[in-house]
Amino acid sequence: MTHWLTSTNHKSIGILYMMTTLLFFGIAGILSLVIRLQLARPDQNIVGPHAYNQIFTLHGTAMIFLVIAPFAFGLGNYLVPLQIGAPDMAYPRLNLFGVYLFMISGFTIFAGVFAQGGAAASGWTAYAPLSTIQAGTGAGQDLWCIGIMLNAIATITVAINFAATILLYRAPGMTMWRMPIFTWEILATALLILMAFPSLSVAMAELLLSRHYGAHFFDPQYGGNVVLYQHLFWFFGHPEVYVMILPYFGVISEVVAVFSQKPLYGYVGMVLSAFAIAGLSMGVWAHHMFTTGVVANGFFSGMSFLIAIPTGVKYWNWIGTMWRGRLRLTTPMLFAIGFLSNFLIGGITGVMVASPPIDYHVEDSYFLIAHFHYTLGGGALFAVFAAVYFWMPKMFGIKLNELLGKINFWLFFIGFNVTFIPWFFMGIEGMPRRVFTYPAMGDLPWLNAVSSVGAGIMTLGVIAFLLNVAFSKLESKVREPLANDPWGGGFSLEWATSCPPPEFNFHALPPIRSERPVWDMMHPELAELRS
Amino acid sequence: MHPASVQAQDLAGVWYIFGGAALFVAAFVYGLILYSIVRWRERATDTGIPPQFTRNPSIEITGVVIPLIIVIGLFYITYVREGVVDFLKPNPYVTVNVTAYRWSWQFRYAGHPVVVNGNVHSPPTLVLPLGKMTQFNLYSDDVVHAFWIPSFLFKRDANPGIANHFDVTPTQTGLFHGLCAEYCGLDHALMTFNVEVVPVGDFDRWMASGGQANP
Amino acid sequence: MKTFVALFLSTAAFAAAACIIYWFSSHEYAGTLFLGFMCCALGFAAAYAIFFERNARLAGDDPQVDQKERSGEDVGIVTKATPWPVVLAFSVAWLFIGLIWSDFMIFTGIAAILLCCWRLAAESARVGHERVWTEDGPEDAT
Repeated sequence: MTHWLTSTNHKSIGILYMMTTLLFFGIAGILSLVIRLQLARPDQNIVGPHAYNQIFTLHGTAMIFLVIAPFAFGLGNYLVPLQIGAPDMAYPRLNLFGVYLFMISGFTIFAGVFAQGGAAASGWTAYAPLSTIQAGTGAGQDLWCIGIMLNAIATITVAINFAATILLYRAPGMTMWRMPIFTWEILATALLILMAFPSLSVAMAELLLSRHYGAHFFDPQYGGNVVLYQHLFWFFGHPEVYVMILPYFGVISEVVAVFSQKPLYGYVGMVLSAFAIAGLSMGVWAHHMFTTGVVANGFFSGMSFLIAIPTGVKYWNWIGTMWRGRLRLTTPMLFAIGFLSNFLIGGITGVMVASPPIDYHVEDSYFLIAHFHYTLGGGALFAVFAAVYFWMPKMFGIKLNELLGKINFWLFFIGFNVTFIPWFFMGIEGMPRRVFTYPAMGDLPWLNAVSSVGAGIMTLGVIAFLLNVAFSKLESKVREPLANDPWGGGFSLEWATSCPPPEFNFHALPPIRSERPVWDMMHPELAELRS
Repeated sequence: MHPASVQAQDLAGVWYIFGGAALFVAAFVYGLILYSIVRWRERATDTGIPPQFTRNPSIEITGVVIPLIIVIGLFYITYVREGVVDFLKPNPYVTVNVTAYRWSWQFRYAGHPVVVNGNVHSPPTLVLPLGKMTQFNLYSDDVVHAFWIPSFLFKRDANPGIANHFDVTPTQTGLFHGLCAEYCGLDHALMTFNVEVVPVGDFDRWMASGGQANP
Repeated sequence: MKTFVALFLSTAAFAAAACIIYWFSSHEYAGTLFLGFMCCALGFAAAYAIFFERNARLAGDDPQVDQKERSGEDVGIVTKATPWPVVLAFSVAWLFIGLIWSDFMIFTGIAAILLCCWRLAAESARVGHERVWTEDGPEDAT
């Protein structure tokens, strides 16, 4: 047992990341259900404002810092060495340090619940001066700042590890232009983390210094500037959302290609668009600040519109992969198609709010949070499910049941859209975000009620998933052990070894002559057709 | 959308253009996705593997150029309309100094002894003249708030230490809703105000009475 | 290495362009500095690769070589389990919480971090903190 707790193996660490995110997903999910219960009718008092404000703060913080991003790091930890044919990551002990620091950061943030005054309640963005005015009381906010700093340090170590491993530890023949697309997306993510997370650490340090050491960075009475915090935070915050989506673009690319039984269309375009998105995303941060009145709206609006182009390239390539393919509608493929549907809505509404004339109305409203729930919930979270269904056989030797998987998908997909489509209309009608109640005005009451029903349907989907895991685990005990490639038709090197792989990953590697070495090994008749 | 000011009509135009573009793009992409799923779903009678193509340079270039043209067009509309809306016009009919604080608003009509206060239980009412340009100077006493009037399709942040300025010309009489749109703590949800747009004559009479008479 | 250099140089060039355009469209210091530092960081990585690694020959970069052609019989070298990174993580958390709670935590936190660094360095120096796997199993029989 202690061996497992102190193992430096990338597979154990990856699973530890993913299991921890599952725990925080459950907590953050329950918090969101409390929110939807409170908002199902206007003027309710199921939870009062003080509790509610902590709840939405913790929900957002947990989903971003403790679920979506770290699940991708865990998945990357597990897959990247396998996909490039390496025995482990470049810095295994740093890896172990990172996962523990990440777990500690999560508990630190939530420990605020037990502090006097409760947990942090300034939103996941913790704008100054709201987050600095409670200095002396409110250990919850301090624990939040510290937890975020620890999380940032852990994330930076993960990024260092990914970058070094991918750049330096590829197996013989695995040139960078033969790497699987998931690995490329992780490399782009790693560079983005290294550029962006220091800004977060500085923002948190300045908050702590302002709260406890008499600093006045954000205090206009002493020459400080409140907007400085927003610049620091969003210079991190915008790349962060791309950190949270690029690995999942990689997951979708892998799943769509394998289950269309065709190579990924436009592989080079996918790689270049990943870096175009990453680069552009560093230059758009103040599109979160259009309504402050003090930023260069034109620059940020223009740059934000440009990100739509490489994202479009990815969409054309995913469609091109499916085009004239032979689509196997397995559960991972269903979740991938759900991603394509949901993320499209998120992306299109993102282009809308990139326009200040539109943003002036819907900034900080339900329209805005609908946009990012569609990209993160409808996008990244669906990709999380696709990844779990696709790679669980490899990680645990358990193939999840397809019927339960389809029930999981449909409940979740329908529930998701019923929950979040009303939000666009609620926002346009004038409902702001981060409110514990709203007036019984116009369409808001019934739109909110419908949304809350949708949240219930999504919960049934999650329950179906948990039942599937339990059922399949039991079933795996009585069925045959899985082959190396249980889906049949795998492309990348992880499908060339057992389910699960041995500690050192590979007894032998197939020759690596393209970005699909396992496919090439299984289809030698196509060798002459490759250039 | 029910735009109730000149600026809101300009902004609503941007909404309709973007909304149209959004529906067009969505229909196109959904169409391709659904067609692929229906047409190329694996059937029991399938044998062998499908054609393993990966490139079509002319389609790929089209896929970059056409979105780029659309995006440039949308940016142009954005830039022009935003310039019109943000531009602070001279000679307002009345200037209102708005101070946001936790958790209500104070409206001070510049040059007149009219001050409107409120609190979370009894929100203040901002009275505005129909068809005349009102300039707002926006301040905050404590944290970042945001001044949002949905019927005007417009909000602006109230930053402590940084004043914001904008103008509005209402085009409809009536009672409209106003609220804070930047999370500011415990009673953020209750930090609302009313906007009452009245004909100019009624407005002048209300101002002359020091804000006491019913507008 | 060529792809590495191309990647970092092109992103550094993009950051430089963004920085310049941003300054002239906003005259805003914070954002300009952010973008400038981004350009420097990426350029630094590219410069390192160009000047110090121009003759690097990574096995992964050779498109024709196969695993069998490499010398040696090991199928993988992995690091053994060790508690010190875990203790280091707790020590760092202890130190940070001490920054707002108590000086005692700050001092003991720094001491614990130094202890972990010492033990980790000692591990690296000691032959045998890695496990070498061969076709017949691990070389060390623990």
